[in-house]
Amino acid sequence: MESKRLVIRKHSLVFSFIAGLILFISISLFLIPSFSYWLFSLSTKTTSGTMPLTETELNHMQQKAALLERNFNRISSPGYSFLIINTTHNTFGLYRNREMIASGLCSTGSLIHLEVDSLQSWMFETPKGLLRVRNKITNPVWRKPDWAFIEEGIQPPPPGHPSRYEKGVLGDYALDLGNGYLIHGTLYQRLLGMPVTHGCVRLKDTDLELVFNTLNIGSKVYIF
Amino acid sequence: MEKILSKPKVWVPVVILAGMLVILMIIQLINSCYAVNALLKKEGLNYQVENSAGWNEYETRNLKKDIFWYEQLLILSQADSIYLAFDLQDSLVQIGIKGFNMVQTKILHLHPSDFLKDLNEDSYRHFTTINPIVEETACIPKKAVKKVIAYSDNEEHHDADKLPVYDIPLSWSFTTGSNLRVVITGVKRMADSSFSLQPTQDFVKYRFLEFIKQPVSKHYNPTIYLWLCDQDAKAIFRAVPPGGKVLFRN
Repeated sequence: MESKRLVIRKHSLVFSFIAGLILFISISLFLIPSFSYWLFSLSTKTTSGTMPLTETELNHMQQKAALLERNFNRISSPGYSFLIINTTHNTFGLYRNREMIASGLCSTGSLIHLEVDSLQSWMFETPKGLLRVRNKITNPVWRKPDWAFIEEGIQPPPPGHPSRYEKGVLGDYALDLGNGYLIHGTLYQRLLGMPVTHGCVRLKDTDLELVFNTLNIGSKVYIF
Repeated sequence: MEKILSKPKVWVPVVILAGMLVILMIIQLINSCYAVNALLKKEGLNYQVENSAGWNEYETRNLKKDIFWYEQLLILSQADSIYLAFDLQDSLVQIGIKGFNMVQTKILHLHPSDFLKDLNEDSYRHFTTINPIVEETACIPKKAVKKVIAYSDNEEHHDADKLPVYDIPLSWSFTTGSNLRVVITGVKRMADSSFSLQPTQDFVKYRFLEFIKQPVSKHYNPTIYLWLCDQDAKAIFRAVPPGGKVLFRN
């Protein structure tokens, strides 16, 4: 009988300890943060005793809100046609009159940092932000920069050397975004949807043609 | 009876441990009060502020919040950098540039649901104004940069299509200049296009990790937990530059 009581006592101690521990954990994990937020909200809560707005003031405020919204919408309007590039998922969306007319896969910068020495290095990254189409080129010729040769493990030839010019590798069209970045075609269609470029945006031939025909010089290209 | 008394008292360490937990709990509780006060003092917020006319009326307050939101967006649209905007009223997270929303994603779940909702006008403006991200951590890198040494026989260089793919759901947290903390969890889309949302489980995990890291914190950051579509969340995370500007509305 005594040993039974001892066992019950032992078990009840263990049980109460576990219950206490659970209570402690839940208080520490949930109740104290909630209490802190409640205290924060209470301390910064709105106070009473203010006069309501007159009808004229309210009308004035409504007009101001509407005007600001209009101004913002005017600024935020991207214009007739624009392109959005998602460098995380390597996708694009082509818009005309605020409607998406095409979407699909593209390839963007590989984020490879090619280093020759402490003085010479390149980062193959597609620039993010708002860019504009500066020029439209048909049958573009790729003028190979130094990194293209270095990547192949050969010394770059002098500027203007015939080996620096390659036809057909950029597809039928190219849209110049400035600073050497282009939207162009690719021979490596299987790599579309992957971050494999040197900073340019590669598109499938049919998509490229549609983008080329839709965007004008000055059209906005949003890259994120 | 004598047998019991002669047994070692097992309840003594249990009581001591329980007492220590209770003391720690009391310390946490008192400390949380101090931490909240310290934050308000640091941010220079006056509790007993008299609101401007109409703030206590729901409709007028929303109108004032709208005006403030658009004023801030217009300021952001003058800059050339990408910004992050949390429209908690419409449950949307947006990244934009020059006023244009490049990505807009629905908030699948948030906690607490009334985050910054009923503050006085001064505090609301203080916390929802444009602020930079001052500190951030994430489970994936912002830029998965791979270093390649030229003229070396580096196989990685030729296997560009084998670049690392971060398939784990995003877990990203950052603190703004006004000491607000945002914790974003990416939620994977399942085969039937629905989301495998487990906010309680994620929340327990976050709170537990925070507790382990700092059981008694001297600093308080009002924290919002958001669950977003993982694909959009990752795109947002990668798009927002370090120190990027953040804006709230609720």
